Amino acid sequence: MKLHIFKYTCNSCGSQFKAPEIGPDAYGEFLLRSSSGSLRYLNAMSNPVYDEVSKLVKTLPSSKDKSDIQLASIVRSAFGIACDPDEHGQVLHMDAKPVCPSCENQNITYWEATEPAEYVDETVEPVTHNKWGELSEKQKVETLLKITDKN
Amino acid sequence: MGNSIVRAGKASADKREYNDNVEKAIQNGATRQDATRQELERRGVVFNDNGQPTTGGSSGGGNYVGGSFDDNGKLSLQRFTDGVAVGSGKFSLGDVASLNNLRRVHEGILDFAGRDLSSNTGLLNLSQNCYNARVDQQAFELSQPSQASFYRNRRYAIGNAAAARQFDAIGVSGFNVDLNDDATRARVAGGIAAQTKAELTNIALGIASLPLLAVGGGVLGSLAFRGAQVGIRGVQATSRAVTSFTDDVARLGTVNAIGLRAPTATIYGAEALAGLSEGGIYAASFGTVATSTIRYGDGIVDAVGFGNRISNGTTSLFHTTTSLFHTTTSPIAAQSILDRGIDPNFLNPNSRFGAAFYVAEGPGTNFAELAHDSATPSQILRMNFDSSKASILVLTDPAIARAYNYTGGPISSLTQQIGVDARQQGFDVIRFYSERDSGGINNAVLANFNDLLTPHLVK
Repeated sequence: MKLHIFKYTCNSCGSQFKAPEIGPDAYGEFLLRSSSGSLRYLNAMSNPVYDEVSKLVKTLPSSKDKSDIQLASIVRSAFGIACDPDEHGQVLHMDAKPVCPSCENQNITYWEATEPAEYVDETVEPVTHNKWGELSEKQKVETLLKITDKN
Repeated sequence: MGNSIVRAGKASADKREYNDNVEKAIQNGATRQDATRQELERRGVVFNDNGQPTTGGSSGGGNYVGGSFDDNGKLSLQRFTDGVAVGSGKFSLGDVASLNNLRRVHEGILDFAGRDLSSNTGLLNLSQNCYNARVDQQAFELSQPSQASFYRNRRYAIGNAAAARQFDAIGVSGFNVDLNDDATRARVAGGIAAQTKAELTNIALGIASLPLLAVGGGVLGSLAFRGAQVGIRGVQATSRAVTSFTDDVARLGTVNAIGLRAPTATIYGAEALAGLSEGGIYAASFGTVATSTIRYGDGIVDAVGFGNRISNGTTSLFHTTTSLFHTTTSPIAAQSILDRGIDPNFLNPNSRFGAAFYVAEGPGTNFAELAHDSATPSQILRMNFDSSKASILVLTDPAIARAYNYTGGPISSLTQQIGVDARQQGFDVIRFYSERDSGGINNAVLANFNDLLTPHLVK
């Protein structure tokens, strides 16, 4: 898939580096990142777990009186827990920034799209939900509660 | 050809009879208005008393009456309590809903007048109003893009100077605020309502005094406005927390709005106002009087809103719906939007102002953006955009862009922060220039997506 290259400035070490992002024109498509630098692709429109998590998030007590925008933000921050971890066992996150290749932190202070735009064709594995699928409804809610309470 | 001759002959006879009868009635003591009305009634016209006087502003548009045909083809007009209707010069057609009805009313008037209006100023005015209404009704019945184009072309075809003259000629008498003046915009952008109010009060040599205007939980105070051409009645209540000052002013009367939308750093720039104004000339010349204008640039005059339809003492903004375009990169995305509306869960946080729904003011801008991003267009969605419900941050206005430190350029954490800030400040939409289509304009819809946008598949 064609990804848009962004430039990042690490807040921890100040180094600048480039990493791919989903294109700005995408709707319902996302990249998830882990702290080990792995990438996964999500097409939320055809992913039933995304829909399931969205609905479950709405049922959480903490979601009461939240706007759709706020709920969407909660879903983005929580959805990674419904995905299988990466090959290093690290949790994936929808709203994570890339890992700095110098200091390996994900603490980014500034980013911007490359201009002129640079792209990379990269195969990104889709997210999977095997572990999530083994959970009961109650366990799923408890898992989301833990995540949203933490956030 | 033959039919035309026959028709002209009959019309000429009708006109003679009509005029003779009117003149006889006048000789017998009737006023010309009464004589006209009586003659029209004799010919089958039904006048419905609307219970309102023609004079005074208290009716909130009481001069605005309707005409229509019933199922039997009988023309039905309304008259005021003082008996004035056709011939008063105050007649206009407000409630004739369809183009077909307008055409029939117009034809009926022409027939009544023997298809020669030269000797009857009242009917001439009425006919002119009909003509204008028909032209504009035609525009109403065009597709949204065509409608927008129609008004835009009509407005700009005559040129700015002519537009200014038209407004002057019809006596739009609110005050004008030069939005080319950075200081003015800055004051408004800073939410300095007191200065704004003072400016309003000083410039507007108050004739009408409005009740307190609640704006975003605050109160601007009792503002004196000049030249209320219609009575101030029936202020439309709004349930929105942030009341649109611009819209309220437009609803209220003839004050030239300056675009304050909320006490805190909220502004409507000249361009946004112009965006609401494409029918301004129409409204004014048509006789719909709740016009608000704005003057900026080299004599450019635009209306920021006006009453399109006045009934029961209320007015509403005209032409607040326009078309915007979104081009998807996959059929699934287009179908999702059509089926489910815009889902905030699907918005892309990597876009210019973060997670927002991006719509362009022309499909060409969509294509230019996608081409730059090496994305392939899939489906074009035309979105009806109801700007009357939107609070818009107009970054196409240089002064406002400066206030937000927005200079365009690549998508960055700074541009995305503007999106966060704008949403927190209560904006629903950010209007900004395309980076890929010179002169093209995009809108990032931040909130209330499905209230503001109604999607239709174009292609």
